[in-house]
Amino acid sequence: MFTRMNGIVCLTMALLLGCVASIATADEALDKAFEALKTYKWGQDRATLGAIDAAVVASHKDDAAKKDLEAKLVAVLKSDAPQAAKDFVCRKLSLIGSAASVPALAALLPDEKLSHMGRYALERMPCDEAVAAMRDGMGKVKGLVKVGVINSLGVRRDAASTAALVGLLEDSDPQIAGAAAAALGAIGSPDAAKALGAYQAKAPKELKLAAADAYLACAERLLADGKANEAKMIYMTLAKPDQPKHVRLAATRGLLAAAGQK
Amino acid sequence: MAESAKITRRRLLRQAAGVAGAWAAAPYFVPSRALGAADAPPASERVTIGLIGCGGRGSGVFQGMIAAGGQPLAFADAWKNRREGWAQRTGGVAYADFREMLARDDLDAVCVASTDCWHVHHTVAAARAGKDVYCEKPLSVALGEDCLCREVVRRYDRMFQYGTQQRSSAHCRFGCELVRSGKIGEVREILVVAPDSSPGGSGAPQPVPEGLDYDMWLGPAPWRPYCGQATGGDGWWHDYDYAIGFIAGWGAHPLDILVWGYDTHLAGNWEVEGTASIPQTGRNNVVMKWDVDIRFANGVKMKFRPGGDYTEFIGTEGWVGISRGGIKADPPSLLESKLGPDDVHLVDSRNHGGNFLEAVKTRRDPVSNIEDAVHSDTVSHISDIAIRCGRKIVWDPTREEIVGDEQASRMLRRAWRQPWRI
Repeated sequence: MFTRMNGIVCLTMALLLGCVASIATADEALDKAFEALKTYKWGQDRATLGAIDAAVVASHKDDAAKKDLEAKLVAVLKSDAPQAAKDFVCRKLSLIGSAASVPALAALLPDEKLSHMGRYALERMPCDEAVAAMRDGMGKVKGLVKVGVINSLGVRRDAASTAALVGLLEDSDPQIAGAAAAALGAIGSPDAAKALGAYQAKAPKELKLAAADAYLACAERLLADGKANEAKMIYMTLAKPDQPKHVRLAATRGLLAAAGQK
Repeated sequence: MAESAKITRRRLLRQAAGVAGAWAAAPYFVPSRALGAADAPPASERVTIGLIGCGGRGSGVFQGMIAAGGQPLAFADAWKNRREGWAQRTGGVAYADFREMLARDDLDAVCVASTDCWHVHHTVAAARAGKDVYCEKPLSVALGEDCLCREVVRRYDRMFQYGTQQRSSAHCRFGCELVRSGKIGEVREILVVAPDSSPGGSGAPQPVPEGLDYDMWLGPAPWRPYCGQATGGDGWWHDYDYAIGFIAGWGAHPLDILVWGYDTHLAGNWEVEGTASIPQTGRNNVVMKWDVDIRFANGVKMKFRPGGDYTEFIGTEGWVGISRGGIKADPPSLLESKLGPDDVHLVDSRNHGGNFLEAVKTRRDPVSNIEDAVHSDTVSHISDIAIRCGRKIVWDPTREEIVGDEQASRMLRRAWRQPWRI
């Protein structure tokens, strides 16, 4: 006879089996997606990778799942998978990547084709290892790739890069020097201010505006940090008649803001 | 590089007189006063303008600015035929690189109508060069860019007009004035509806068309082989590398009315939850059929859905619904209200481009300023992030931070492809 207790047991078993089946299906789908990722090329159906997208979302607050997923993604990055596959991996690591991903991502920085996507992940990752990798990488790369790394260090406002960035103000490549100035402005420390102050007179003509803008940005950071006197010195320099009208206007507004802070 | 020699305003006008035949057959009409007709104000009194992004939308907006009295000087676009077409029709100068255009000291303002992922880059570069900016919506592809944009626009005190032209419609202004003047009582609920995104497109690589500087077109966005995305607005509007879809691209209009009528940034923390579908085939991969609920800390609830173009404010004593096409209210008598001196009166603009040019001259903020642009774009971005994370997001509008969700916070910015930065 089919009692109520039997019914409950059967229902429980069915639910458990269902859950197990569902987990198994999800695992299989994930395995299949990683298999497809190994040879993924641009223009192929993204649906084949959908299980990885879903796993990234589902791994929130599940550290074990995230770690497992991260390891699988890093393995693809270290393989000879196509550029499109590594591009996809970097996007996912930008969301869940930890210090464990950093070496594989840092290895992409010198690669002209993948440097940006390496930074796409590293720049978003809050761990110190990510920014340290970009700081270390800055000295090992050249040209446009170097500009990109400098820009990312500026976004991260990495004060530990200050000395290296100050050195790059002298770089013969105006794109590198300009990026270094902007990054120093974003860092906005007293040391950065000192370097940018010295740079105002030395900057080549094509970088005068960029130098002034970086100096203004630096002043804003100092002001926000309660260093009104340091900011005021910058604004006074940039309010002089040798600056373009809009820079003088910005400096004059800054002077008013600094005076209001006292 | 500039594709013709640097020219003065006077020389420009002389040149322009000689190109009448060229622009007669052009798809965009350039009024004679822009070309120095006798009844026009002298060139020295006109606002000189340039266009970055000379496609269909940019051309339409720019033509409106010319009709409002702007003096066209310069055109930048990654497409050779687009920039040169405009230069030929107006006697202006075409630039393959917008930075060279911005280096001109005779240019007062620019209209930015490029790909969404470029908007903040172009706006910030223009502000740093001392130009005022009319920027098409949406503002950006990542909310962190909005904040940087506001920072630089504020730094140089540049005039910034957001391309939310519904603010220059009298009925939209009146509806928001009714809400802000308390004519519907205290706001309790808000409904915002915007047209949905589209699936489709192909990601299959194909040859880069002749006349397109693909690297410049991509700009700060990730590189990938050309796959037809630069051929028109619809080619990139729904591609996540270049835009976040109509949740922002079209949503900007009704969300702009939202922030014009109600201060979402002063309503306390937002709890944002949402679902959507994201196409898994084709090139397009932005959120579609979104269904977003926002609960502000002050108790006001908001729904954001796809559909038409509509913003409805529901108060304790009635409601007002506003769209581009009209306004409705309950009780209907609200629409007959006469606003008195103690009521809220918003900026009265009847011509969005003209309002911007006026701002350039008077140095008084135009009707769609940078603050409100950031506020409305914030709703799009936080909704998009909540959907993509698949969980509730808490947004602190005062600190402009996502609260207690490190992973979601990562989505507030995207690294830019070298050498670009903001």
